[in-house]
Formats: sequence, C-alpha cells, structure tokens
Amino acid sequence: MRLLARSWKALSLLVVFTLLLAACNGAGPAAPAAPAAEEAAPAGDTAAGAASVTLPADAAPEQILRINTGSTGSASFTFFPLGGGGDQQSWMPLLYVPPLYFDVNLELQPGIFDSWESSEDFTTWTFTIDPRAQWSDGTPITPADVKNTWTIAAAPDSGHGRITQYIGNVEGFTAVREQTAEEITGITLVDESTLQIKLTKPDAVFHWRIATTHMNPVKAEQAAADLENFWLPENNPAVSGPYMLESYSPDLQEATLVPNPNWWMDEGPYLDRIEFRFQPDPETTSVMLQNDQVDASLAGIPLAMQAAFPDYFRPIKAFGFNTLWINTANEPTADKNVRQALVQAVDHEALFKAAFPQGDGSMANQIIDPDLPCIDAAANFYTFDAAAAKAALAASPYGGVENLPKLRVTPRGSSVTNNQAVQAAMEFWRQNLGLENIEFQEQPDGFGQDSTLINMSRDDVVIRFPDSATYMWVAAHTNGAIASSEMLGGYSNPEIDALLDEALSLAADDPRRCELTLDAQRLFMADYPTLMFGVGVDTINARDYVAGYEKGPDVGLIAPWRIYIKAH
Amino acid sequence: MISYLLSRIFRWVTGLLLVAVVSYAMMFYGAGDPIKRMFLDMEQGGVEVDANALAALRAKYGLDRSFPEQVTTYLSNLVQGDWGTSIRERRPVWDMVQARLPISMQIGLVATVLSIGLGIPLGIVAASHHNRWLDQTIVGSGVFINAIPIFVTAPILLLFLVVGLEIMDVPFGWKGLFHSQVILPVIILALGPLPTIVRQTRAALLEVMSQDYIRTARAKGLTRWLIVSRHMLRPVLIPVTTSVGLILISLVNGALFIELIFSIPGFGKLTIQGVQQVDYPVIMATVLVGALIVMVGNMLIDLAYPLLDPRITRS
Repeated sequence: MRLLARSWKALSLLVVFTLLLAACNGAGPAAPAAPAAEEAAPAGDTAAGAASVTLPADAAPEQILRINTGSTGSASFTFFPLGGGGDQQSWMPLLYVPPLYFDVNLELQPGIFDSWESSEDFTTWTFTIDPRAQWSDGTPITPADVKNTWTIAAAPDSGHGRITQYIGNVEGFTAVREQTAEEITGITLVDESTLQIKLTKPDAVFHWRIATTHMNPVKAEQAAADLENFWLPENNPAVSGPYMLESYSPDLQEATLVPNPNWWMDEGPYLDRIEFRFQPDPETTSVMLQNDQVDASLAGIPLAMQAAFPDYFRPIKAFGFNTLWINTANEPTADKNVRQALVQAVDHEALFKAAFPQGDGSMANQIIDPDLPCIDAAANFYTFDAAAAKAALAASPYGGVENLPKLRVTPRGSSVTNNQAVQAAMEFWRQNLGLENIEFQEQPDGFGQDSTLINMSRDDVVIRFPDSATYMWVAAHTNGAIASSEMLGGYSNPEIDALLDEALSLAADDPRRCELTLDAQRLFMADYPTLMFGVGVDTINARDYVAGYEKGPDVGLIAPWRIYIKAH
Repeated sequence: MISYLLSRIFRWVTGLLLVAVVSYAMMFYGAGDPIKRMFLDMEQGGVEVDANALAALRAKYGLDRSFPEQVTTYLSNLVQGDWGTSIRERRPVWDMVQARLPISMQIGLVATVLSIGLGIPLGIVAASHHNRWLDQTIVGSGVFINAIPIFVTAPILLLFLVVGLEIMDVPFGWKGLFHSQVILPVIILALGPLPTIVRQTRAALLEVMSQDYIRTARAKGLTRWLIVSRHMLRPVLIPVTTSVGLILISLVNGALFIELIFSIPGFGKLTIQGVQQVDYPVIMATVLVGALIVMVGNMLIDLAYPLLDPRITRS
C-alpha cells in the first residue's frame, strides 16, 4: 500500500505541476498587442469603418471576415510590408494602398497616385499623389514618403525580394543598392504632391511596373527608425489602407484587423473586423470550411472539394506557369546538346498529364503565358523525339549516358503537381536515354554543399501586368530575375538582350514591341533552357458570399475596401 | 545527494556544450543558407537572389564570419543569457521558447498522466486475465492503435467529430489547458504511448506472477487486490517508470504532428518552423532546450528508481 501511496503522490505532484504550469501560463503566449486603432483615432471617432459607412443592401448584419493565411508548406506568419514577397503580400492591400493597381479587367487604376505621365521618350515619369491620401494618423501621404520607402527597400539588407525589377532602371538606384549613396537621385520631389522619376533607359511600362502591392509606400520615418518592427501594432504604425492591425501574435499565430478611422477613399471599408489565423494545411482548412469556420484562405483546398465548394475554385487571371529551368553553367547541362536531349526525351503531353492528372491546367507550347496579349500563335517549340534525344546526347562531349556526370534536380518545394511532373520527367529520361544517375531533392538545400551544382530547378515566370516583353525580359535577359539566377546559371545571349532592350523602349501598344519579343522567345527556346510542364489554374480561395473579394495578376487583393459579407 | 546533483550538472553543462558545437557545425556545413531560404520562401516567380543582397544580409546577421567565430560568439552570448534573435521573425528567440515550451509541457504532461492512468490498470487487467478474451482484446486493441500513426488518426478523428458528428469545431491555437479544444489533441497524444505502457505493465506482471513469494501470498489467503497492489506493483513499476520517463520526454519535447494538425503553437511547431526556415538561432534553441529536457527527464527517472525499489541506490 505504501508503494501505491507513493505512486499516487508522484502522480498528484505531476498533476499539480501541470496545473501550476497552466496557471502561470494562462492562456498561453502573451495576449495580442494593444489596439493601435484606439490610439491612432481622434477622440470619439473610434467607431469608424463599418459602423460609419452604409453597407450594401445585401450585406449581412455581422461583417467579420475569417481568413486562414499561410501557403502550403509555409512557416512564416508576418505582416512585414517591405518584404517584396511572402505570404503577407496577399493581404498588404488591406493595410497599404499600392501606388497604382490593376483591376480584374487588367485596367490600370489609381491608388496612392491619382495621375501619371511620361516624357515622349519614356525616360522621365511624373506621378501626383491623390490629395485625399492620408495615413491612419491623419497626416498626409507625401512624395517624400514614397521616395524614402523605395530607398529603404533598395538597400541590399532590406530583404526586399523584387525591388530591382520594379525600380532597377531608376537613376541612382544602383548606387543605393551598392551602398555608395544614401538616396535614389533619380527620384525628385517636385512639390508637395508631385514626384518625378528619371530612368537610365526608356521604359514605356514603368507605371505598370510599380502597380503592385510590393511597392506600397509606408510612413518612411517610422520604417527608417525601426525597419524590422515598425509595423507591429504596439508601435502604432501609420497605414494608408482601409484596415489596420489591431492585434498580432506570432506565437498564437493569430491577428486581427479593424477599420482605419482615417480611411480616405470614398468607398468602404465595410468589414468590422478581419480575423487571420495561420493555418497552411489545406486539409485542415477544408475541414474548417465544411464546418463554417473560415471564409477565405491563402492556400487552396484539395481538388476533391470542388463539387462541394465550387465557388472556392473560381479561377482568377494571373500570369505565370511552371517550368523546369535547365542550368546553362553547371556540368553537364552547360552543354546545349545535353539540354536538347533532356527536353526531347520527354513526351510533353504525358508530362502535362502527370502534373495535372485532373485536368486543372493547360498545356504550355511556349514560354510566354497564353493569357498575355502578345503570344506566338504557331509556336510548337519542343517535340517529343526519343531518337533525336539520343542523337543529341551522343553528339555532346560526353558521347552518351554512360559518361554523363550526375544530374541534380529539384522542384523547389513540396507541391504535388511539381513533384509529379519532375518524377515523370525523370522516368522519361530513364526510359528514353537510360539516364539513372540523377539526384532528386525537394529543396535546393537538400543538396547541402552541392546546391551550387543543381542542373534543373522548377520555378514560375511571374509578372504582375500584361506585358509579354517584360515577361521575356524576366526569363531571358541577362539581367532578368530568372536568367541571372542560379536556376539558369547566369544565362546570357547578347542577341536576346538587344531585342528585348529595344522592345522595352517602345510603346506598349507598338506592334514592333511584340515582334521583337517573339523573336527573343524563338532564340531563347533554341537554346533549350527549359522544360515546360503546363499552366496551372489560380483560384480565388474564398466563399462566394464574400463580396468584392478579388485577386488578379498581382499577388494582393484588389481594392479590398470593397469587400463585405453578403447575407447567406 | 548534493555531490550527485553537482556531478549531474557538470555532465549537463559538458553535454550541452558538445551538443551546441555539434549542432552549430551541422547547420553551418549542411543545413542550407538561411538568407537564401528567406528569398526562396517568398511566393515564387522572379525573386531576386542577388549577391549584393545576400552579402549584406549575411553581414547583418553575422553569418558572413567563419565557423569558429560564429560558434564562439553564439556560445559567449548564450552564457550571458542571450539566445539570439530569430533571423526570420526578427525577435528574441528566448521569447519564442518561453511562449511555446509551457504549452507543449502542459499537453505532454496531461497526455502522460492520461496514458499512465489508463495504461497501468489496463495492463493489470490484461495480465490478470492472461490469454483470455479480455487480455487478447486489450493487447489486440493496443497493437491496432499502435499500427495507426498520429498523422492518420488525427485528421480522421477531426473529420469524424467536426464534420460527421458536428460536436466540435476544428481546434486552433491555444486558449489554455482547461479549454475544451485541448481534449482531442490530448487524447490522441495519450493514445500513442498507451499500448507501450499496457504491454510493459502486463509483461512485468506476468513475470512477477510466477515468483515464489506471490504463490506464498496466495497461499496465505490474501485477496487478489492486496497481492497486486502490495506485492506485484512495486517491481512492475520500475520498467514502466523507464518507459513513462522516455514517453514524457518525447511528448514534452514536441508532439510535432499533433501541434501541426491542431495548430497548437507549441515547442514541436517551433522546432519545425526553425528547421523549415533554416533559422539558426531557433534551431539552436530548440536543440539545446530539447537536450536539457532529455537530461533533466533522465535524472528524474534515476531519482525515481530508489523510491520504487530501495535496493537500487544512486551509486
């Protein structure tokens, strides 16, 4: 009995310890930060937002939007606005209005800037700020805020993922990037509302380029004072968007947005509150959807749910497609014959079916996205020809598969679609070339020290406005993000560069711009730098009762001040 | 006792130092580049991973220095109580551990208590009905439960209870140990080690049952309850304690799948987050705290043995 008593004592101690822990810890990590809205809003104005605007006639009485954020496999829950990428960019238009934006019909709309014009040679651009535009603390948004935000983002240690492709051609950008200057000299503050931007070379679509949530101005003095933390609600960040962060807990992985009391556009915001939960698992999100616990999500839900929730699968227009880039610098794919062999040994139709077994995509016959205005209607670049593939391999310096060094392939992520496609390609290489010396890793990191030797990596070409020349520039120009990356290994073809440089100097609607772009595409494809496996369908991932919830070629929500919950 | 504790602490410090150096070396030479990962984790398509940015960010986080420099700086900061700043979340790592560890500890402890509370009696019942239908049912159920991994059990149960029976919502986050949403994760977590405890208890009891002193106790006319509780349970609890200790360590150290599936912001989820993002300071903190939990857990198990069997001494 003594033993039993001891055991129970031990057990009781364990229970008491647990209860003490629970008591000390309370409801877990620190409660979400104090509401910034109350502090920022003038006295008596805290009921701004849904309470002070007239709701549309079909609106539900309760205006709360519940969003599961986190893309599949993601581990990052943040609302840092100057990242130039990341899950949070989808939600940034809730907090910050972009300089300009494209609507669902791909028409350019005013944002912070209400007018824009360029010089005849497209080297100087002038933008004016909407006179109504103000921060949530009531102060006006100034040209200096825009210039200083972009200067902060241009610094190499800002962590911005895409700044060069947006303002890389602005005079003085390179000096800031290389840390030899502290301001972008090409951006001039003309007066209290006007900004003039000088480019190093003509760009007819510069205004399109900055029409993205990646370029949202923030209140620069706050960002400069504490770049990493200025956006946290406890620091009372001033925002320009229809909503503001009321609470954010990275530990509980929850956040709440409330209406901006100093919202300056004529419409909205209609929602009383937006609740964010970090839940990147599509299966769990689909169960939450079935249980009416969520209204929208960043990650899609399994395709099997399409019959039950067809509204969730409404397609949206976005530019980009999946492809396996073939490194042109690493052995053995540095050799064009090897690249040709790898491309021609694959049956592209079968590859597409492997990637999209349920038909939720479309075949790619060229690198330029089929939804863009300038495409090669007759394109059929790569044909499946196992004999030609073998001959190309035999013509390479390696003479055949037996002398071919190891190939390293990565789909750069755990997406089922991409993994299936890459595995199918590997099977074609095995069957048609006898190639088995291949190492597959889901992420480049998986190769460890050999990650610099990767031969094939999957990625999308993504642009945020409807321009084929820019699309080709990103992929194939020496300075383009893909060509200059480790994926293509610093691909450079002076002929292509010349064609694209000329194309980009022409007006967007100049037919010559399209011709030059298609010429560049032909040259690029003749180098066999890519193995395309199809264009996926992007879906809205929201219930149909969430009115005004729109997404497009840019990653962020479009005009989110129009979002409201319909009675359902 | 004091010298025993001092020698233990000395071994802990040495062990932790070794773990820290080896872990840092593994990250440095093999885990990948946290700065490059920062860019790769952005939504894909045209992310610029340019050398300027990489170099500037590496310098910003001190990752441009040699391995000896980095590890020395890390250890010297650690000794002063500075666990570093998360590269990705840009906040002190200790804040993250402090917020997450108590959650895993609470869930792990409750699940362990539940496992013991169910496992030992079930083991006793199974042994008492050796080779009869009740024994076979208990052992068979244990094998069945053991055969289904948590990442299968949890989503199925979730779907069944939330969508099928509509008796609960999908649990999310952490609202305290006494919130109803803790029930399902704790039950699923407790089911994992339950068959082990049942089997350990049953096997140990069966071994003890054949001992002479048990036959003597029976011959003396003692009741079955007295025989079990007074004469059989003590030797049985020693192997069970070893298992329970190890189970407790593993549960507290991070119930990875449960925390992921039920979105519980615990230590396991923090560990996965650190590894996914190659966030050096987070990985180091989870490894070191995890190692410390193992060390303390093992010491508690060692301390428990003499309580259960006075013949076992600390020497």
